[in-house]
Amino acid sequence: MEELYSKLSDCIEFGKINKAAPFPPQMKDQDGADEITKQLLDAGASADDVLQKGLIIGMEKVGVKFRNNEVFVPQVLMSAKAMDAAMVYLKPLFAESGGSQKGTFIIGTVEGDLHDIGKNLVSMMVEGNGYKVIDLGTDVKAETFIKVADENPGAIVGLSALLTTTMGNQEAITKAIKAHNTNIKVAVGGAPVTQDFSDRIGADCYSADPQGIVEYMNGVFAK
Amino acid sequence: MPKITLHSTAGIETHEYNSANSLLQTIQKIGGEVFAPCGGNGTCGKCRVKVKHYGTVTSCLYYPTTDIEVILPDTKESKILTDQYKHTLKLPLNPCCLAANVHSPMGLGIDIGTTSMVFYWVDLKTGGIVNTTSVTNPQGRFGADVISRIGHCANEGGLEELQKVLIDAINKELIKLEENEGIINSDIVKVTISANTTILHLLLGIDPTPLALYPFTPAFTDYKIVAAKKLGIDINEQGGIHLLPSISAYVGADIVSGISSIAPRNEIKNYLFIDIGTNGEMAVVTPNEIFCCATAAGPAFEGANIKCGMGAFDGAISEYSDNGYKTVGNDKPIGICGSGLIDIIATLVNNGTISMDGVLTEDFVLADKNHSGNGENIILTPRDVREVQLAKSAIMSGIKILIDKAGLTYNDIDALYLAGGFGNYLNPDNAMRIGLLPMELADRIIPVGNTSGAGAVLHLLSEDFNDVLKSTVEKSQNIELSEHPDFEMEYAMNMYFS
Ligand code: B12
Repeated sequence: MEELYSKLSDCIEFGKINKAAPFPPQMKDQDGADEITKQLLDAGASADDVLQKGLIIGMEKVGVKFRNNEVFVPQVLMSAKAMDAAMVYLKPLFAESGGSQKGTFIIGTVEGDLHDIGKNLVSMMVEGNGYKVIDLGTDVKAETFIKVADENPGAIVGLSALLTTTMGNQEAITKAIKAHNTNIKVAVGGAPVTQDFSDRIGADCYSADPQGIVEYMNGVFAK
Repeated sequence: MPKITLHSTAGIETHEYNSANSLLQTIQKIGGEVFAPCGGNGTCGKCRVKVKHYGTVTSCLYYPTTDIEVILPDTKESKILTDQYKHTLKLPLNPCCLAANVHSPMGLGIDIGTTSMVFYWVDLKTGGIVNTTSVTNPQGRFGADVISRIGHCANEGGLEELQKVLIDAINKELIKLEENEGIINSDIVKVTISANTTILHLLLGIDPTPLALYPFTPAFTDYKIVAAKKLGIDINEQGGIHLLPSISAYVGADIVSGISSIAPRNEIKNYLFIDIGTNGEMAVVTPNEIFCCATAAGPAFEGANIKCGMGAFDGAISEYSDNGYKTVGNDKPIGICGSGLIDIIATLVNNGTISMDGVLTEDFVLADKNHSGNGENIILTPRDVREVQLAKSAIMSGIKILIDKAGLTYNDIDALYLAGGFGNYLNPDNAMRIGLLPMELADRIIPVGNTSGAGAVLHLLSEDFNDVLKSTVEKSQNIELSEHPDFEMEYAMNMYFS
């Protein structure tokens, strides 16, 4: 069992989706996240253990390597795909058990903006760290963020913007959320966004990379 | 055959030459380097060289026949033969009606780029280009890219300000020309402008805000003629300002004009047209259809977001290999420009200093502070490599998706036309090595220089060019990459240097 967990975390770390996947070359013909997750569940592991002892360990390593600039977008994306392959099995189990995930993260690219690659990486990394993620997609309006936040009390809302023009919408949406309910925590990110801007618009968290928001959430939900 | 003796920084060499060629062609043939941004079009006057016992000549317009001795300047050189003229459409002289009413009718073609404006003064009686001048786009101080300038319009009076500086810049050139060449305003009967969609909006004082927000709707894309008087542009009272048509918010008149200006050789059926700039516009042109998109590569190759990045000015490292660097003007290095950046990355990938997945473990020193021109180390940082990956992959992913959309493969692509100044300077082998351009098209890359300007000139020369422009627009379809399901995966995977 322990060996399978560590294999699974390797698959996440190095982005091995399934046996047939050619990526990464050094893991050619080995079982991937898909097969190993199935083997673990068949052997009686709980969904929660698969998440804690496999996925989260691997995802954290990727997050740290990405922050340290040892890996880049393609590797993170492949890790995310590997995680998706595992999540296919875990999600229904979490739904049954009422979810053992640590908390909920609502994320979307703000109104007027369609850039979503960065947002997707954040969303997958947060999910891989044991949170439930509700991804609202791109071009998302304030009303939608507010509605979904209301439906998920305690959830943290993440806003992504990649255009200097849509940073204005990031500000408007943050303010609308805060005006609606000051207790909803808002995180902002995207290439043109800075800590300064985040402070100025009254957001609770800014991070240049996914690992930062994960650590922020770990702090919030540990309390 | 007559002989040419060439003095350059590389030494002195003598060759026989063919007197049917221009001096520029001769120099380029024997490997000499001359800065020729317009590609030997006779338009930019940049390829001046010294001919001993004769004086300074514009080498692309000079056809020597006897033994000569030539001294090359120590400036930034283009090492690629850019025979733009060979690829430019030729139309019979057929200028607008007003031209018949004045004594010596003149036209002004303007390519307004995000960074610079190029003016082409055209004699509408002979069809010759009298002069080419260029100034930096004065809107630059309101933001380096169009999105920032659109942002400036949110400020009170911002739009008016952006419009005014453009019109002032045009009028200033008109005054200069009158002073220097004695051309009077009333003789200038037509102005043709080629620019991206945002700049065309700003020029007319139309709010461009919707261009910067999804669904990116332009207020207009069609061909427009506005009375010069109405815009306050100081030419013949009855003259018109002609704005060339655009395709969409991010595939503008500059691209339509560029594609329309090219006359591919007969055997070229399907081709790619790419402008490697901040917006990274490109098109796959087939006999009946044109597929185009903007890949938003970002300004890495213009020096932005790169630690020691800079434009191709004196002191910029513009070439690099295992043997070291070369700078613009042979000055001590003070930074790195786009072509140098490509060379550096290609070299470091080849020798393993940068890994296939883009890891550079520490800053790479190109010139230490004792050898640089500014007392600082000139370096390439690990983050710079990432910026290049983001930019080059955007271009490559766009290429792949467009070719796929057109139902073609690399085998079907007969040529790759590289438009814009940068295309003239980059080393194509290195561009392919880093995965900016596809290796598969190695033998088919043709730098064509400023095609947007070439189109503006054609429009002045002949009313018939309107039909060509119209057909380009009609055949075009805009591919929205953000809605393309494969873009994310393509974009991620094309970041590798394999
Ligand atoms: C890829 C790309 C596109 C793709 C987008 C595909 C997609 N599905 O997202 C396409 C080609 C469609 C595109 C289109 C456009 N783009 Co674009 N695009 C880029 C590009 C090349 C890379 C962006 C990217 O994906 N980076 C990689 C990701 C991983 O990084 P990231 O998004 O920053 O995310 C990281 C962090 O910021 C953070 N993060 C992100 N979100 C969040 C959220 C939270 C809560 C947190 C905590 C963290 C966080 O975590 C991520 C991982 O580290 C950049 C230029 C560049 N070289 O960077 C231009 C760029 C962003 N685009 C730009 C523009 C203008 C456009 C267009 C509007 C016009 C155009 N074509 O030129 C269009 C239309 C946009 C649209 N449809 O919405 C400009 C913006 C300029 C400005 N001043 O704002 C840029 C900078 C290029 C440029 N200089 O011209 N683009």
